[in-house]
Amino acid sequence: MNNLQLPEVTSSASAVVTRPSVKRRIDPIDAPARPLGSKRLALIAKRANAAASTSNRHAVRIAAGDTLLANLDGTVTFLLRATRYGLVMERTQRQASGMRLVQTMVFHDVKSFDRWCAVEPLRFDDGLLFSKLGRQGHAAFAIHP
Amino acid sequence: MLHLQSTPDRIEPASGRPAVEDNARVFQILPLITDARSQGEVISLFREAVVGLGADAGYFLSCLRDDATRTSFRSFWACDPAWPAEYAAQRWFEHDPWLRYASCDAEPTRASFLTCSSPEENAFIRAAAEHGFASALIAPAPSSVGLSRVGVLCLGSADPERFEGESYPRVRVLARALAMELHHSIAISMREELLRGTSLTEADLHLLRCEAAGQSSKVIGAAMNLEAKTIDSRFQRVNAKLGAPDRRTAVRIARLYGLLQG
Repeated sequence: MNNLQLPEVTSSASAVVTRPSVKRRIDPIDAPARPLGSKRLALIAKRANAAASTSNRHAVRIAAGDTLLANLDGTVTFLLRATRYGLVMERTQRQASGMRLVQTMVFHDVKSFDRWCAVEPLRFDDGLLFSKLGRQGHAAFAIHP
Repeated sequence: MLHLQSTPDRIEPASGRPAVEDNARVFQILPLITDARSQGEVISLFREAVVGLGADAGYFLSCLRDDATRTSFRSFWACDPAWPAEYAAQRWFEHDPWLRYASCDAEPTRASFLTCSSPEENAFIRAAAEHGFASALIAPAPSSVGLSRVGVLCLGSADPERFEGESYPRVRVLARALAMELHHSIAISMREELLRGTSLTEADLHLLRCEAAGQSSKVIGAAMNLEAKTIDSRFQRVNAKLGAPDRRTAVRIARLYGLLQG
């Protein structure tokens, strides 16, 4: 006696189940990003430059009481926020295309703020902005030392 | 206007004095990091955890490879303020051997166990040692998106033997947990920042979900009773909002920042 069970074939299956459409390709999320061609790269850089000069994103981001300072070309920005934890500073350094470095730190006293000021690279690149930054920081600590 | 909390646990830069370990306090701090409502609070908790783990200094760095043209580094610093300034000035993120380690391994380790692969990495180690990282514990924070998002927690001490003692196994476990909590916290803040900055609508996210499901403009348009060209136009606007060159990259960014969850 043959106990093998033969597969049941239904001829109407193909008519009932709709044929899946051709799927669009999806980039694998856990692999490096798909490289772009040189033309596309140039276009992206151009758009990023234009967006950087006209963007009003910072205006949206700033909450009441925050101070945002930026250098002339907008590549370095400082967001200062006085909180009960100390003076929170978010330093953002960006390139039109490439990397963006955001550093967030809290200064608990003027001493640590001054120590940071003494080595911050912007002190040579944009003296005006840097002095403004120093004044803002000291003003925050002067109110509540 | 500042309302400073008393912070008796302040970290003195490269003090050299032995830090007092309080692992129980670190255990209490860990769940508070995710619930923290501001970055100032997160960094204060981070700072407290660094002290609780017996370290003199610490920083957490999250690296997100958005697309082929952009890489974002987000970081929290609880250390000598000169170190983050130098890190940015010297662009150490390009030669950070601890970040490189986190990109290829998920196990916490000690910096003394790592081999530098270039003169720049050797220079990084020397510079870090001058800022309170003479010895360091490196705790990677891997993510579900592999190399696209990697985090690393670096705990440092002026004492070269600090992480060599009997307490290392305990500190290693807590450091790993701290790294994961900080990584989660940064991921949330990056997601919120992207949503605020791009003003993506629910309709935009729906389009991205359809694209992520592999649907073409024709299929999406048919479901929405719209022309395929209309869908293409909408995608162009979404791409512009995200700064993506094409819709596949837009989906990648949306997935990396966790916009398509739920």
